[in-house]
Amino acid sequence: MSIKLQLLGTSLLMLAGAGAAVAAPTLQSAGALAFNDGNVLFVGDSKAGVVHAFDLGPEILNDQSDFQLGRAQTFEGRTILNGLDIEIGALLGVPAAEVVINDLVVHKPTQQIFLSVQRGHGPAAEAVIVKVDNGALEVVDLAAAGHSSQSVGPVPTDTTLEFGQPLNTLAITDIDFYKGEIFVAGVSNEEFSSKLRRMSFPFTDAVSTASIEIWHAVHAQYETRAPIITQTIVELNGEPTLIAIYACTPIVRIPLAELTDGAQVRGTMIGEMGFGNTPIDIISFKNAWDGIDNVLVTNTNRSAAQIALPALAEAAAMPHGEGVTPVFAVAGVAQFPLPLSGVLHLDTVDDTWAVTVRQSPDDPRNIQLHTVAMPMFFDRADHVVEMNWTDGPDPFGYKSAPPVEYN
Amino acid sequence: MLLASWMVRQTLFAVLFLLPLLMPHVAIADIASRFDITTGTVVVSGLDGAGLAAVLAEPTRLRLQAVTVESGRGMLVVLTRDDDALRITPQFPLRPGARYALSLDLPDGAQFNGEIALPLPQAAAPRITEFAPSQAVIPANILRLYLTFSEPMAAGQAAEAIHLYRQDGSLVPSPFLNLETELWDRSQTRLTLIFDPGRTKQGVGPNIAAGAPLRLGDNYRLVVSGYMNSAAGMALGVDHDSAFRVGLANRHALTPENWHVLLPSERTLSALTISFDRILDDGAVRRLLRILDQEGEPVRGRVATDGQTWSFTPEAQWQPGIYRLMVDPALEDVSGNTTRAAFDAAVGTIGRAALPTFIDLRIDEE
Repeated sequence: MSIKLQLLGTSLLMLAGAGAAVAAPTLQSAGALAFNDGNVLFVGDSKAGVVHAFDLGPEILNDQSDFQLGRAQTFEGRTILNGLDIEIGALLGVPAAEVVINDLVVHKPTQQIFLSVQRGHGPAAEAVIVKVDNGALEVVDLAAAGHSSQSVGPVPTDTTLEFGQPLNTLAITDIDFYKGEIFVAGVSNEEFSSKLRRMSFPFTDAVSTASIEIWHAVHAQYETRAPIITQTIVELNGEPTLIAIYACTPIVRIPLAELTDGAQVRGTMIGEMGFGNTPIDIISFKNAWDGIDNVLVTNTNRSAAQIALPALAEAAAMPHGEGVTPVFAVAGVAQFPLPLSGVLHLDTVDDTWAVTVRQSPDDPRNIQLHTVAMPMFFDRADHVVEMNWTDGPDPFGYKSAPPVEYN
Repeated sequence: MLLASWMVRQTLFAVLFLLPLLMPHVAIADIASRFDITTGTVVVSGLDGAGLAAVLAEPTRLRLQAVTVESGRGMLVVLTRDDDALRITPQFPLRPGARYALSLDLPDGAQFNGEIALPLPQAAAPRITEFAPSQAVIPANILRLYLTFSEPMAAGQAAEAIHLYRQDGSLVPSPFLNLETELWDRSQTRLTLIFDPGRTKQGVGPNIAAGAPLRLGDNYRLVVSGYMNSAAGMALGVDHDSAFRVGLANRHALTPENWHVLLPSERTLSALTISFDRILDDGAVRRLLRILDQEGEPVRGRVATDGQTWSFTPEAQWQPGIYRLMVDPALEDVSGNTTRAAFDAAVGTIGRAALPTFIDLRIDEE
């Protein structure tokens, strides 16, 4: 039998928050994610203007080493989930259109995947962290984790409130952990600022805000500032170095030692990602085939690009100054395009596997949680290649390999 | 006779008593589900003890899900016993205007199906209340536009719903920075659109290859499509046009000493008004200009600005003496120029210390 309740004329505002047993009250929004070298998950909360640190215990972290990620020998990744947005929405009781997956990160010691998710599109949208346990989705109960946070955005104070409701926000676009510190990049909605926030963890009250100004070699005779969208820290010739990608897509190299509190730093521009494009994320990985370390940049409007660390270290500053001919497209340090289109988020699991949130190559409406074998980031099933045809050649014996059976 | 009548009555009673056990669908008829608005929970009443115990022991017997969700899985809930009823507490609140299907597998193999429909409260259709800068002519190298709405809006629609057209009706292709996240204020009533800096900055590849998005002397229309929805799911209804003409680019650092200040009279609550020599960023100028009193404390008051002029009405009367206007080094005009440097600065000129600029404001005794 069907019962329809009519509660006309009654305000439902009181519903907000009622029965929200899992959503931790501390999380106003959940964006950029990062782990430290232990079990601390950093969550960028742009709405609250803070970076949260959740110390995840064994009740949250589950070892995933028995979960097969695919068969790298035959370039076969595993689709862990189809309709990822639908399935997350089902947990939250909303259709896929109301699910926003903001970031993905892998806890390397357990190989467990974590996602930052938003339920809805309005200002009251709930923020949750979802984990994958042997292929099953679970909402993480953050109340079970130790919590601390550090303010990074504009904080409303009496003096700002007297001038009316503060409207300025910092959209946190990336968080990276390196040797006891985190680096936070963000875009302000009122300032075209190139501030990079550097802070030690465990948090103290101090946020050293390095104001990094860069040359744009392609500007010929100009220099300017721009927000960093994403960054990673790598060691180039033994020196910890920030590799940052800016909003207008120059790639910049800055030794960490120069990023001191309040410093005015000029990064060395060593490349450009090309225009009509915004970077999503930059991660570092080791090519297990040749032992060379690399960074990988995912982009909104073009395929991902791989850059080898030795190339980053050796790249000369792009020319600038009077008489320099402007560069029109991708330029500077050698970039190797990877067959990763439709990838919305990516992180490495181990030396062999990366995991992506991606649009299925067969049907872009199908959002998949899918693994890709490194270092080629190539999934044979995604491509129309002769060796996939039933009567095609099979020089590497892919077809003679038995079908992969997953646990 | 009396005995026969008694026996018939007893038999009828027995049959009536046993009927629910013999015909399980009659038991289902007793089960009812309702939404409890005060707690945000769903209450299922009419379950017998066995049914209640079974679902509490085996919660997978129950599925509560929005009817629009294309998955067999139920939403996350916590089940508790509330006297003779089953209370379902969703871990995430049920949403106004949504319909939910409830199914419950009973121990006898029957299934109870209920539907919960939450009414949609009346929500106002959103309107665009402000477009900044509001001036008819704006510089060719403008960096930011602001759209203010009367209602909190749903994020994630800007790239689809907002377009820039030239005067001939043609579309300006991707003029704005396509960040993964849209730049809303906390209430999601004001949206910031940043022109692709690669196309606005002089001499950059995109600028040369695709050209600056705005051309001197041309007219443009920023169109927000009528289908853009508020957070409450109400559409704007009609397309909204904001028209402007493009004037000369401004590529000079801010010079507060060139601003024209109209001082108020002492012991009044009159506004102090500043006319700028250009259009300042509508967001930043509300926040990054301060009036300091003789002790260096910010004067409390209200700001009104259109970016071209800025007026400050104090809460307490002006006193004779020297006030100071503090200009934050982060203040930008609409083209991103600051007191420190022009947005496109000559090599080596950026990097001056980021300190505020102070302008003395002398209010004379009359």
